[in-house]
Amino acid sequence: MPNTRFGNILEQLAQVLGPNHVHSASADTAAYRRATYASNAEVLAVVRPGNTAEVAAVARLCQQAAMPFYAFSTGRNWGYGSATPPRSGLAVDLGRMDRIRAFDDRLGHVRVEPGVTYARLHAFLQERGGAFWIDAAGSHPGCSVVGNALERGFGHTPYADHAAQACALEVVLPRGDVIETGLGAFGPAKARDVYAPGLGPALDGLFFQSGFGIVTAMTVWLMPAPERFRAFFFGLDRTVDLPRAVEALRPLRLHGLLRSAVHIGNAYRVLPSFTQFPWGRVAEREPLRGAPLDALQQQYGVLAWHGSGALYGTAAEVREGTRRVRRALAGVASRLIFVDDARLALARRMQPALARLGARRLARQIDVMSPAYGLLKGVPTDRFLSTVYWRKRAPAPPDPDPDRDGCGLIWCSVLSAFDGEQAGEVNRIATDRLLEAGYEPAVTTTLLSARCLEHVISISYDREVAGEDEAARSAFESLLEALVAAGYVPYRLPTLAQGFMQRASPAYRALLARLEQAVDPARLYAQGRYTVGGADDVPVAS
Amino acid sequence: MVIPKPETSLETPVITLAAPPLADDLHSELAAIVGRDHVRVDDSSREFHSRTTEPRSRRCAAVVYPGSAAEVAAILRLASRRGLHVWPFSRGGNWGYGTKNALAPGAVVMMLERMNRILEVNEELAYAVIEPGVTQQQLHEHLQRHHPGLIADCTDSTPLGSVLGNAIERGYGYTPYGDHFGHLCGLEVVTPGGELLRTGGAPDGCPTWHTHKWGTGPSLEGLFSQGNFGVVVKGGIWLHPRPDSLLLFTLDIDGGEQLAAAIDALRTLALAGTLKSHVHTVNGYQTLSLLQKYPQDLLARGARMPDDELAALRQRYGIPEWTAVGGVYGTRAEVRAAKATIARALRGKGTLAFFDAAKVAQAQKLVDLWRRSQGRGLTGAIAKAVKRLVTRKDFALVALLPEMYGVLLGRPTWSVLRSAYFKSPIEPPMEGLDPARDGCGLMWLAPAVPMSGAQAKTVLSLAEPLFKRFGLNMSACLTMMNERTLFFLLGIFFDPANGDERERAAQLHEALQARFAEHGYQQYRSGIPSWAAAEPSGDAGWKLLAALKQVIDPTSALAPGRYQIGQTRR
Repeated sequence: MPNTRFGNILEQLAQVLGPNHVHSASADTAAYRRATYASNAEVLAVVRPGNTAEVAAVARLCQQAAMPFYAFSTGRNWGYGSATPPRSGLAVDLGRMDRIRAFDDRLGHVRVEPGVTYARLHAFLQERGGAFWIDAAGSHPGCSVVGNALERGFGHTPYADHAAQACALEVVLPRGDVIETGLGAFGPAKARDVYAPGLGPALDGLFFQSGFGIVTAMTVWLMPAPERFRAFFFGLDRTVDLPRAVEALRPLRLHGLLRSAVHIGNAYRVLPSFTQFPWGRVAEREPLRGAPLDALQQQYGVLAWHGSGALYGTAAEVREGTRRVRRALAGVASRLIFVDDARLALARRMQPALARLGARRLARQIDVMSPAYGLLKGVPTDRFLSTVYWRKRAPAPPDPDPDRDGCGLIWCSVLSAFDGEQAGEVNRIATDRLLEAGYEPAVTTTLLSARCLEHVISISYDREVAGEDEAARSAFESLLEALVAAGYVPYRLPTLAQGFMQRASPAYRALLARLEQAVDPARLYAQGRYTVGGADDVPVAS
Repeated sequence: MVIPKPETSLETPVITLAAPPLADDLHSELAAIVGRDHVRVDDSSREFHSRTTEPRSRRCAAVVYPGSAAEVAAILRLASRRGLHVWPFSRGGNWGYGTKNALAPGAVVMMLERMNRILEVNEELAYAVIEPGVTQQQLHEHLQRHHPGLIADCTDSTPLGSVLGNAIERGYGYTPYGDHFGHLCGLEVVTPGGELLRTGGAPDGCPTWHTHKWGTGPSLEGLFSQGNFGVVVKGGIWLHPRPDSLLLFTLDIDGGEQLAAAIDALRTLALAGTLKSHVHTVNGYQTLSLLQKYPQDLLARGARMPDDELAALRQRYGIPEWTAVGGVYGTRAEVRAAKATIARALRGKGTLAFFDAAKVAQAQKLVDLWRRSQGRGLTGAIAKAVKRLVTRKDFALVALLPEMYGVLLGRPTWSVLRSAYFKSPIEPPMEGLDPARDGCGLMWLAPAVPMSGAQAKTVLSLAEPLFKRFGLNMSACLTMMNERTLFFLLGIFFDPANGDERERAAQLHEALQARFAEHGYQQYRSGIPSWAAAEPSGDAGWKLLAALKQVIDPTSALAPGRYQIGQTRR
């Protein structure tokens, strides 16, 4: 990077962080410019601070030099922009900050830095006896616990809503001040890690999905391992069965009988766990549908929808939950099965025999079920990452990396009320728009709370095919537009959809702009990431 | 709508910081916004609306009653232009934390009680959309009548308290939805600049405004609670489905060791998800204050109730040192299972009793009968029947049982607020209690504490000696706020007519605040006595809030100094 425009900031950064942690060579920054879709933003340099004070120093140096900057935890925000910045500037990679600062084995909470991954935290808790579980997003064990929570990601257990299970944020503000949200604002507070709102205005919400600051530590609540655990899996025969299933499960969620986040994925979502796009059987540039889709579903025993959830509690509670789930889904779902550790172990033991006896389909289903079962117990898995290779010509390598391998993926995630009709409408809009654009409408509807559904729609493509980046982006934009027009707003934004923030009402935008003005008057930090000020790209000297 | 006439009972005997009425031209401008009838500047109105339960009162310059969000906005714009300080209150029942006083005298008190519409109840998704003037009683009755499948959590304070006001201050109740702020979703707010906005940033008609807390992008709801960044004029509040089955349980606890063990057991039950209600554990003094008056001879001398006298009174009523009260909610099978689990977990940690709907109905019948038969010689027989059918406790305690069972189902009660009159010369009415109107002396102070028995013992050992030193008795309640947090609610009941006791109460509050802060226990909520007593911290977090206040409310029109935001350091 030429130093002229930003002065000698690289030397200053190297002085603070050590030269090993400042990279500006194009080869070193390449990985930070790659996402699962086209990103135009330049990464001028990458710094890897090792602690909060260093992050604060980086922020202050950027302000001095008027250098735009942007921080991320582990950068595995696939489908939403990976590690790429929304605007050209300095990338602040927080991956080195990977300490588990504290663990309370009575109250069940852990204090983690942004570099702590699901795999690390899971192993950490297992080594200490496994009395507490984490809740992991289904994407990858290498994802950041903090980063996912800050994007309001979710998992599968009763602690699925990650933002709701986090508190006491340590934040480096864009100008380098360090604050704590919640009770920690008042110095060493005994209840810092257990009570989120603190005293006075509750500021946590400001730092999720936002450009108001860099979170360098967070307390995460952990679920005690339940006395009993029982997963359940079910299928829906027809696409139009989704609304009924949603309606059937709402009372259970509202009454607290079902505390976990049930996920219901359609055939397009489930098939990639078994196979790849059937190149050759479908005309080029055509999405999979009709007879070839039916054939593939038949081949792998995949129904229109597949749901997974679990019951947690005492033996009696799990027994009662089982009864209620069974009753709610009677006549709605097919293939409802309940699985616990003993049953799964038995199935695994039988698996080789099944395969030998020609029941390959069943054997493969057990294979796919095991990691899903694990997620319901908070065990992170990399099993589903290979599904983003759906439209690639070659199968996923043993070490999948969607950014590196040119996998195309854009998530379009929206909210609806916990309402069957709304779920049906989201699915219809997604199906119509994406098939029309030539993509498979893979949809997962998650029963995230008693009142709200999150619908995650993915657009999978092959970035190595010319024109696909543009076509997929345009399909995404048209889909989001249609969903928003129907009242379904994004739950989370990919970097390429940040214009959505400008659609808030003028009064709301004005308030956000004033808050941005207060914390970052020069508008240097994370501009274009859930911000409303400074809509234009920052000019870059090249 | 009738604005209460300032005629009743006791003029507040506390020390008043005076202020002149609002200037005529400003009065006219306010009247032009809300109408003449909805502004008061006369001395008796100002006196009435400045009454507090705390030792100091700040006289306001005017009281204004806007009837709509547009009027709230116009009032704030006027305030910005003319340098007024506007302090909003929903219904003003924030007793013990400053009541409806502004931090400094001479402010315009803005009462939102005319905005009292229940705008929507969504049965499927179980939420209501309400205005700040909607009371607990109003919402309860509305649900009873029109949506009997839903209940709204309530506090055990006044049925005429504001649902939104309490939630904004992060108050709490008893049911699984007892975390009131946690169950707010989708707010309409007037900013200090007079703009109306909706949290979440979603467009009009968005079906998730009241079902998804975070919206898209940063979530601003927290900014509008316990602060001065906007006036909430409408909000969604989640409602609990009426449970198939409900058990009330009480645990009588003796002494500190048993208390610690009980708290640890309750935490385990809550973490496992078996216990979903917010269990309240009150000390004997607090329970006593619900049943009778503070002994007259002690009151006259301003004397602390000696420990042996308290013990004797407890014995008379059958009040244990601590009583935990909670609910078990669910289907019949769930409740049966949970009952067994709870009984197992609490074995040896006190005397446990469960009361189901049938038992409570029986108690209610006997209580009614007893009330009707007063003086007809049947009371002895009824009391005996109660002992046989319900519990062996004193009848006064039995009378509370149906009330508490009602609270667990969202039915507000007057019976707990009676404790505010413990040291008052006034006999509290059965309904319509108003401790500020009636000159009661009361302050609250509630640190947040990690939920463990050891921690509970620690905070008790910090508080008790201070109460003793200042010659007052400790009223205490340990409330399970979430699976990991206790709120240690301390009540300071004092006789405001006794100048010496009043000053001791003020000093005790200050001493408790300082001691808890020193030991790392921060209050979950605070009020004028706290803000006036301590310097703002001056740290980075306080500076951030000051900077936010500066950009959102550059003229300090809205409640300057509330939670010390925008307060200058001395």
